[in-house]
Amino acid sequence: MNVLFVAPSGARAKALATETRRAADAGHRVLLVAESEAKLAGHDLDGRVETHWIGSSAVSYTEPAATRFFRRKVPLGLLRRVGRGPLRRRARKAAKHYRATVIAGLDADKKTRTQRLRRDRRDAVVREQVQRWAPDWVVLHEPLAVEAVAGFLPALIAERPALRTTYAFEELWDETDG
Amino acid sequence: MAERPRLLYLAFFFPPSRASGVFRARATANYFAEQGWDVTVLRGPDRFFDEITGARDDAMTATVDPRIEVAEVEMDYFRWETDVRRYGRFRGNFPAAARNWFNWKQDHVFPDKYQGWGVNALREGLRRHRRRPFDLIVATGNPFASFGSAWALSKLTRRPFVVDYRDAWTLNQFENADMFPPEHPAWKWERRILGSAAASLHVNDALRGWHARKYPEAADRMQVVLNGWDPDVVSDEPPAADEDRPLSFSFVGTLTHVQPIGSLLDGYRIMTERDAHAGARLDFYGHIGFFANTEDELRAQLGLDEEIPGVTIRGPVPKPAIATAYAASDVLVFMTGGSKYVTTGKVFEYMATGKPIVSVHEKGCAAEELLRDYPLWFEPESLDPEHVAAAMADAGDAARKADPDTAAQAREYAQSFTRYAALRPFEQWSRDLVAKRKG
Repeated sequence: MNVLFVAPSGARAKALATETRRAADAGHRVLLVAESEAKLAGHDLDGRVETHWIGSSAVSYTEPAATRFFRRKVPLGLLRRVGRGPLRRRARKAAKHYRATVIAGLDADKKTRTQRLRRDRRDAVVREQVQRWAPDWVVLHEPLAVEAVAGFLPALIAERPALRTTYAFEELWDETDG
Repeated sequence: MAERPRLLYLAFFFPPSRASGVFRARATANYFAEQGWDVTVLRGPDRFFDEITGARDDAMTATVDPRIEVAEVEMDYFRWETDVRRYGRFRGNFPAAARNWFNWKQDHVFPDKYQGWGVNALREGLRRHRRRPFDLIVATGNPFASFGSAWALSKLTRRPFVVDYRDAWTLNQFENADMFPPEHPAWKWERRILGSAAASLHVNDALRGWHARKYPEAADRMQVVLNGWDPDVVSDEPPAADEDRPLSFSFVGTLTHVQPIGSLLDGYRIMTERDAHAGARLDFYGHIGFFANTEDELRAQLGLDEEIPGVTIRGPVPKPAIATAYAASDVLVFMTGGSKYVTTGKVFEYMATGKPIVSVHEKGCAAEELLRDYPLWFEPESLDPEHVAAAMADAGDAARKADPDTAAQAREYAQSFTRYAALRPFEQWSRDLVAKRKG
């Protein structure tokens, strides 16, 4: 059985290492899709587990050069220049206000756009791996994994009703019962 | 008119399920009903048979005595739910906490994944008992949660209960080893249940003996109720001999890695190479392994992944249609892992056909006791392929000869192993127990 562990943030790394090893021990082919190897460092991931790193932290939003120049550098540069004269106190106050409103707004916007880009990348990579791997069992190992698959998993389950989805690799029913 | 004794029968696997254990449960309920008992069966839910095992057969329901009241009891699907969208609120939002809670219940309430069904069966049994009291409670396992429910029902209603071990609970029958580590709660529960059960039923004497040694305080209340064969499943009509067609050696059952299939295949090859039975076929009816997803792997392990001349994998046959497989066979191959605790239900069906049976298993298998007096049993000296080939050839000769007297003797011997014949002493014992209690 192909078991795909989706753990975008790599939270619960110890449990992830344990469960992937158990899945491999049970004879399954195991693929782990997680943020990066560094997140799982020190948790001794089993060598049989195939990995695919999302690497979304490498992605960040780049502000347009004009915005950076005209909205960040120029206003603050002017206020710095003005601040060298008799209006030092007022200029410092204005700069503080500018940072708290305009620059903070720009930072928040940058952060939001970065998060969106990283989320898009995460979702795209997870979707791509699910399609490529054709898993029989998808383990959504953390809440972020649920977000990552929410867009396509219901349709996939409708298409392949035998696909298992769980929050952990755990012992399921035993066919010898009966 | 004297009031009919009332039996509450806890049988999770019961028609419409078509699991292998259903046949014993169905025969028990039917036989008690025929003998004048008012039988109520609490069974597993339809969803389990439809979606989880996929082994549902509504035709089986028609074979249940209409006088039997069958009630479906719901369960929780914690161990079986494979779609996160169907998780409840608690599990969906707190999966780790839900798992810990489930595990805690396994450790501290009852150690069986069917525990949820057991609790509901207990509730339903109590409800029905309050309305109209039962006289006897019988539980069949697996699942062993039914034993726990019967124990609790007995305590609450002060009625005797009997546990029927279709399989061993704490013994791995194939490995002859304990199923659980010593500190596992299953041991405590088994001791507790056997300590208060009016009787425990076992499918062979070896299993009864194992339980008697483990729980000597309950040994005098242990009985053997063999499995037997079902006349509606296997025809005991004399087989028609056809001298012209090539012989068919058939194995009917599930193939697993514990069976000595290498000896069988080599023995078959040697037999055909010697022209003992030219053109003889070797047919396998049944599943390969218990898990569909490991079938290919096991097929390769067993050496069945490549085509072998004369050998055909015919695949699974539903039990109600098994008579067709037997009809197409001339010699039946009885191949098993060979544990002294394993009789297998198949051996009764094999004998009921009145056809030659060739054994391919280690010496000491529990089924040997039954086969010893079967006139068409062929046992090789050992599992050496030469010996297997010789036994197969002898069995083939017997099939070719088709001596009607010997075949009649074989079928007559098998007649003593019908399910009802096996259940008769237990039913009488139950009747006496209830009569004694009622004074």
